[in-house]
Amino acid sequence: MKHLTIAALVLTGMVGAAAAATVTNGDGQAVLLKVTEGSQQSELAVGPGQTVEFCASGCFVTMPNGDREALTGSEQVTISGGKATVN
Amino acid sequence: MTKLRATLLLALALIWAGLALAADYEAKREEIAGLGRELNSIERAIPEAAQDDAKLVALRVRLDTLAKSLIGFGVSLRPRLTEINSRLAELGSPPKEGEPEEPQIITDERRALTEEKAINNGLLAEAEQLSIRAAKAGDQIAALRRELFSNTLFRRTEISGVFGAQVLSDLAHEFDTVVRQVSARLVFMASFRRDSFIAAIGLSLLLGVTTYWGVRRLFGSVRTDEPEEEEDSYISRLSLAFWSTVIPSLTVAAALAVTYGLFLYFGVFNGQTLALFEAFLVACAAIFFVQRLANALFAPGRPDRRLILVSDRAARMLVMLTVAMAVMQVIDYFLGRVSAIYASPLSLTVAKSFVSSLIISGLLIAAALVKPFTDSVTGLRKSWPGYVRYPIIATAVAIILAALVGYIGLARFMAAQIVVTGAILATMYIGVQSGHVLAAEGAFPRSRFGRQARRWFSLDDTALDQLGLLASFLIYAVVFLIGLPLILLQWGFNWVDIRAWLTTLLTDITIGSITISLLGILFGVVIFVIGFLSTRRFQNWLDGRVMARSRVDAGVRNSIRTIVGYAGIILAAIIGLSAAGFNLSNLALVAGALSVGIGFGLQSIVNNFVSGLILLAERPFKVGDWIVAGGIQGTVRKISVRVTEIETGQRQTVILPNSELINSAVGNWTHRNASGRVDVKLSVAHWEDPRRVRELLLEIARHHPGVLKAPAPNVAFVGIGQNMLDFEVQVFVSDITRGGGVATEIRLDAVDAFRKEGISLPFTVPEPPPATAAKG
Repeated sequence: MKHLTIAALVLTGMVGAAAAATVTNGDGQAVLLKVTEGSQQSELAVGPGQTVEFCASGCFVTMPNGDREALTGSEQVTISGGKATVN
Repeated sequence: MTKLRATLLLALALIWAGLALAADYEAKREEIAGLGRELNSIERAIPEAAQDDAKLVALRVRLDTLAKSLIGFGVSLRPRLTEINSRLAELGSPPKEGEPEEPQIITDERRALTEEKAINNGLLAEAEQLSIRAAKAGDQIAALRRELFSNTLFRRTEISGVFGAQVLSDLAHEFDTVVRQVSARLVFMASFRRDSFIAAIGLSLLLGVTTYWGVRRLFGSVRTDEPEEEEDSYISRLSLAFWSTVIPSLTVAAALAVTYGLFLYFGVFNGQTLALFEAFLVACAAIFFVQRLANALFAPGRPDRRLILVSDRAARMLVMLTVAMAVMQVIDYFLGRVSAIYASPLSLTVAKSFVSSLIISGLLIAAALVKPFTDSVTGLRKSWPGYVRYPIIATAVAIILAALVGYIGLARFMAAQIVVTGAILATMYIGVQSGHVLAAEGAFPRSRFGRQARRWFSLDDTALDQLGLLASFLIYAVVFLIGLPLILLQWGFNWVDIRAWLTTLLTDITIGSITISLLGILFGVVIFVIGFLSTRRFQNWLDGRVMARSRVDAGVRNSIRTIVGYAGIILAAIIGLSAAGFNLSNLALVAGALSVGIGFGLQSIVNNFVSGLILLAERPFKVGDWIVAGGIQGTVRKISVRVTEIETGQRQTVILPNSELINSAVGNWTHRNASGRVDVKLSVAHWEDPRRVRELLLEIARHHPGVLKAPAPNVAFVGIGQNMLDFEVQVFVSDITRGGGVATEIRLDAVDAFRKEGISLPFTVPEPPPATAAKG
């Protein structure tokens, strides 16, 4: 089992009218999410330490560890140790 | 033993939890199955609805709801997944080779949790598949609707086959059906449900009369407002045009809606007759709106109100033609509805549309040929400029050609667009014009609204002018945000599409990794403006009502006012920024970076800023004080946060940085009270009796009305010069700012007294004393 350094960086705030979910990769290496939005299925690469906005109006996401989540488009997803936490 | 019992209990608990879980997942499975059935039914309904736009739109709405439910379903699974994950994390990973075995119960629990997670993921995968299918179905609907639209537009009908004896008999039959059905219904109502019938008609009539009276009254009062000033007239004409179109139209629309409600409630019409009645009411509202709009634009009876400056005759004709076009269009709409309601033969609809398209294009050509302007030199009537006239004629000819060739759908669509889109564009034109006029320099402060704003918020002309600019931008935004979707709706786009575009446009412009939300920024600006204005309002209220009445002195009032003002603006800015979606923690970062800069470059500014705050709080001097600072003497006019304005006696305004006022000595003549000592230097010739002179001067000082009795005035004998004796009259006055006047008056009195008493003033060139003076 890999022991990854955990450095979660949660950007508090990002308030405002722009409602999109954000994903923050707290791991040391890039992760790949599978995002299904509408009829489009795409892969979203998030580099180490990066925060990316995606999923403006609801989507399904498959996390790096195989977990699936449905997002309404206002969540903040944090990835650490290959696992995703949705707030 | 105890260990065994605990294990048993735990196992039982797990089984129980597992059962509860099973039930829970059963419900979830049921739910997703239900959503799947809904999707199936929608998918099945799509081919059947392929020929009906309204049905397709309804299916699209159902699909949108379904997509939301699917996401909601997925979200509802999240809490359990989070629980499972955290429990799994607690249990840790299974032991590797060579590590000690873990208790069986932990292995079981892990397995159970992993299984449950698989179920959960399976459900989500199912929801995901369904949502993909739903999205594809949505795409299919969009494609069908596009096809349908172009089909209705570009379907060719053989005209020769349409016109004939058959059409006439069909028309007669349709007319007969309508009359028969409506009259049968009315007769039925009148004889069997008289009360309801009378109530519906009576209430509608009452409503009609009230509406008519209300509109008349409202616009009667607007009319008496004239005359306005010359500069105002265009703005007031525009606003009058806007309000006299929009408000009566909305009122009438509301009244008609209520009428419809009344007829529905009392059951006057039903089924087909109700649909007919509805079409009739819509037709009435449309004609009313176009008629108001045409009147507002051309104002046939009132040249001074005309927005498009055409001659009187042309104005009358244009209003007539426009209203005729609208009536024609509305008749076409109404007859189309009648045909739809009674499922008349297609040829009848085609024939009606053919005729109405031809008539509308005829009217259009007539409107294009009107000569609306008068040449200022020759006095001859001039036609529309080419860029207006030719496109209109071309469109009209295109409609006629399309109709003649057989593209009735296209002709009908174009004719309808001329009227409907034309009406929307005309309304937008008024809106854009008023925005344009408002943006002109100096226009807003003079407008009625501007004057009101000046009274409320005590803004100066420049601020009002900028506000005018902002207002004009807002008007543009509103006009386009309302007008464009209306036009798009006319052109066969549907509301769901437009809303999606708008949302993307307004909330989601992505540049690189930055997402800009126009709506958010606009919202932020609006919040800031509201905050700014309410701060002003609050300042005025506090100053004028609260502090003036509680007799707080002017300086304190000013300090409080200024501090409240700055606090309000900063607060408004912060709220505005965060409403606009700026991250305030980013702001903190920027502030952190700036603090280095503040340390070096902005040192003096920050110094002055802080000094200003200290000045406002500590108040070593206040507005209106007479101070001496850095060799400058004058009245303090304004203390702002960075600088203080001082007006000298010569009316020169000196701007002093606040840090100087804090760091160096400031003399304040009027700190605690305004009283002060005025010294008046006087000299007399050296042979005069100093005691006598002192007595005289004391007398003068005591009797001067501006001199305080206590402390008593004093006359000091300050020097014995070569040719003169020097005195100083030291008097206290209640208001040091008037000290100069008192000094002058004392000097004048002294000279008078010296002349009277024969006391000589000193001369620069020594002269022998006159004989009389020596004797006296």
